[in-house]
Amino acid sequence: MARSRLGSLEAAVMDVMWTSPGPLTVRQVAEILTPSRPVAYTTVLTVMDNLFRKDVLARELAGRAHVYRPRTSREEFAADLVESALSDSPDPAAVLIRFADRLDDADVRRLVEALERHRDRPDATS
Amino acid sequence: MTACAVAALGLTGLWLLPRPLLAARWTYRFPRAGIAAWLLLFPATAGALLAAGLSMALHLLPAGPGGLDGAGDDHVGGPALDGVIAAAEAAVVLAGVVAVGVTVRRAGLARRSHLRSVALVARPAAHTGVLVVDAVQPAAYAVPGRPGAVVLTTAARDLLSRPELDAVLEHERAHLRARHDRLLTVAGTFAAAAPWLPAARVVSRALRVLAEMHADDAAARRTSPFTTASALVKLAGSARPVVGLGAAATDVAVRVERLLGHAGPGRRGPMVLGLAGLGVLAAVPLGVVAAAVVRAVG
Repeated sequence: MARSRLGSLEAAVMDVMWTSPGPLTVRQVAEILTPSRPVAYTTVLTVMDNLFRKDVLARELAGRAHVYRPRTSREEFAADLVESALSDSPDPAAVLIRFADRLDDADVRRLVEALERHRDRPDATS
Repeated sequence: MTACAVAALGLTGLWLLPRPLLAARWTYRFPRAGIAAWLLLFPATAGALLAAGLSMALHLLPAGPGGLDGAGDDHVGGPALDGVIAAAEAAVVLAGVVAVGVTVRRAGLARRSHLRSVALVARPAAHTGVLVVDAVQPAAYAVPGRPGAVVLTTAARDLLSRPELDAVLEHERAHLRARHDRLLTVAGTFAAAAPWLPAARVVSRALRVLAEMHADDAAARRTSPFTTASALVKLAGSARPVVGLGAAATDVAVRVERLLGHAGPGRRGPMVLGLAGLGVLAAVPLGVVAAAVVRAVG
C-alpha cells in the first residue's frame, strides 16, 4: 500500500521533471504538485533523493539548495527500459517472460509464407 | 532392491530419459502433461540418487547383493563411508535449496525494480494489469509476481490487430496465472549451477518451450490459433535483428508451425503411457525409502 503510493508519487514527480524546461529544486516540485495532490515537502525530498540514488535524476548544488534534472528524456528512459527487457542476455531466473524472441529474416519470410497459406483456410480468422 | 541398484537406476535415468522425452511428440500436443513429465524426471533421477545415498548412510538397505541387513558396521567402507555419503548428500541438498532461494530473491528484487521504473513512464491502459510504455521497439512481456503485470509498448500495440493484441495479452496472462516463472526459475537455477550436467540445461530449455506452448494454447482458445501465430510472427519479426541469435528464436518458428498445424489434441495414448512410466520411476525412490524405514522400525 505505502509502496504503491510512493510509486505513484515517483511517477508524478517525474512527470513534473520531464515537462519542466529547466532544473528544479525540491521546493519547486512540491509547489507544482500541491494543487493536484497535497504532499509534504519532506516526502517529495525523500522521493527525489531516491530517484537521484537510482540514477533517474541528476542534481547539483546551486547556492544552498540542490537543483534536480532528469538524466535522460522520457523517451530515452522508456527506450532503455524496453531495450534492457529485450536484451539477449541470458535470463535463467526468468525475471521477465517475453512473448517472442527475435527471429532472423529467413525465418520470418518462411513463417509469413506459412501464414499466407493458412489465411485462405476456412478456420483461419484474423 | 539394493541401494546400489537404486542409485544405478537413477544415474541411468539421468543419462537415458531426457533424449526420448525431448523427442516425444505428445509433449508438444499436451504442454501441461509435458511439463509434468519433465518435472517427474527430478524424483525419478536425482531423487533415486538421494534415496540410495540416504538408505546407504542410514543402513536402511544392504549396500550390495548379499550384504548385511542394515545393522552392523562391517559393510563396505564402514562408518567413514557412511559419514562421507551423508555429508555429501546434505551438502548437495543444502546447496540446491540455497541456490534456488538466492535466485528467487534476486529475481523478485529485479522484477520489483523493473516495475517501479516502468511505472515512471507507463500510461494507464484500458486493460487492467497491463502497462503501456511509449517506445518504438515492439515488445510484450510478463513481469511475474503478486500481482504480476503485462508490459506492452505502444509500438507493439500499433503493430497488432485488435484480435492479435488480445492473443498476446491472454498469452502473457496465462504465464502469470500458471506461475510459469516459478518453474523456469527453479529449472534455470539448476541449469546455471550445473553447466557440466547436460540434463539440467535440456530440462530448463524444454520447460521454457512447453510453458510458451501452454500460454499459446490459452491465447489460441481466446482468439484462434491463426491469430496467435500471426501475432507471434509480427512481434518476433519486427524486432531489430541482433548478431548473436539466441537459441530461443528457433522456438518461435516451432511454436508458429505448431499453431498452424493445430488439428485437435490428438491421441492421448502415448501421453498417458509416458506419464505413467515416469510416475512409476519417480515412485521407486520413495518406495525404497518407505519400505526400508518400515522394515527398520518393524
